[in-house]
Amino acid sequence: MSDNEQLDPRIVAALRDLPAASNEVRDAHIAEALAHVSPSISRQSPRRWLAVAAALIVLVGSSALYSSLSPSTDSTVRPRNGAVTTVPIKGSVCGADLADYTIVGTYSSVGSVREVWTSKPNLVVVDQTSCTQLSIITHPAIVASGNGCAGFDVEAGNQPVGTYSVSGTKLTLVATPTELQIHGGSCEVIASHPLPGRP
Amino acid sequence: MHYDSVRTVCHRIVVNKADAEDATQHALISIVRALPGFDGRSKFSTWVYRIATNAALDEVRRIRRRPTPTDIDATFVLPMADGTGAVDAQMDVAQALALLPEEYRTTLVLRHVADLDYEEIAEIQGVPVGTVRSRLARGRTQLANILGNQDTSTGRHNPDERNT
Repeated sequence: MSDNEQLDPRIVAALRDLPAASNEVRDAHIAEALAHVSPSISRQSPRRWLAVAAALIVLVGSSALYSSLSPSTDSTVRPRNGAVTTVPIKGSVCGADLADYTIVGTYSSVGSVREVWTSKPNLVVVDQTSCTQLSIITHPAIVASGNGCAGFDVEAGNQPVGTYSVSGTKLTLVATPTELQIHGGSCEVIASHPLPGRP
Repeated sequence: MHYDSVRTVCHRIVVNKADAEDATQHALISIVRALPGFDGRSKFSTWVYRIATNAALDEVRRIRRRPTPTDIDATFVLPMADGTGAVDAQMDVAQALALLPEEYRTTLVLRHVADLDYEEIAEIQGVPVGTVRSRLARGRTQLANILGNQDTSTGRHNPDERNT
């Protein structure tokens, strides 16, 4: 049943011709939607879970879905030597116990690797060896900002952990030798917390 | 990928850009929340568009309830077409669409933007197929009048589209 010819093709084309969403808008839409994925999905049968996952890919596209689920993939920081580097995609071994969280990234401290996860309203630091939760940080209130932190100098000895979004504002997490710093939408430090010790 | 289609449907029904982005967001959240309950009785795309349409229409109703039109679009101050063809030839198609009654606009969007067939549109709108046909025919006619371009419709007559 095709009756498109009954409407001037130029009109149809104009109706369909909507400028694509910017990456920021699209990622914010998808990230916010994914934050509402029911926790019950993970408890359903593998077949059901796969069906839901497949539907999500059909809905938003695999690349967009991957981008939204990988908050550290686009965290570009500029070391002091001026070269732009991208924080490597960080894997996780503790994800099974943190189903409602999204990994921000990892850093090394006192000889072991820590994972940092985010979920409203907390950040959680986990020891990657034992998957023990070392610290739960209540996230500061975020004032939505249209500014983007395009990159900043990471001082020697500091480790870029990754980026994530809260209320549409992109935040960057940096581990110094003594604390975790949350950098806001304009690259400013909006909160810092002492690094947790050994498990 | 349905994201772009969902967003386009929301924009064409809601019109105002900021409100349309809100509708898109609400649609995606509703879809994600409802995914575990999708039973496959209708096509996935139909199911998605039904939710998107409802989200867009909810947004339209929210806009109507606003005490003051704080971010009114130029769309809403355009004069209604009187059918005489005296309209600005440069009028944007989307703006012209916004002047249609909501049910005509939504039906046209589902048909010509989402590319759904009559039965799918009827399912989404909860109306008989005949009503879909009449809404399409009237919507096209009004759109043509608003645009002042009688060539908007090619003039080919589809006997299935008699008004009901």
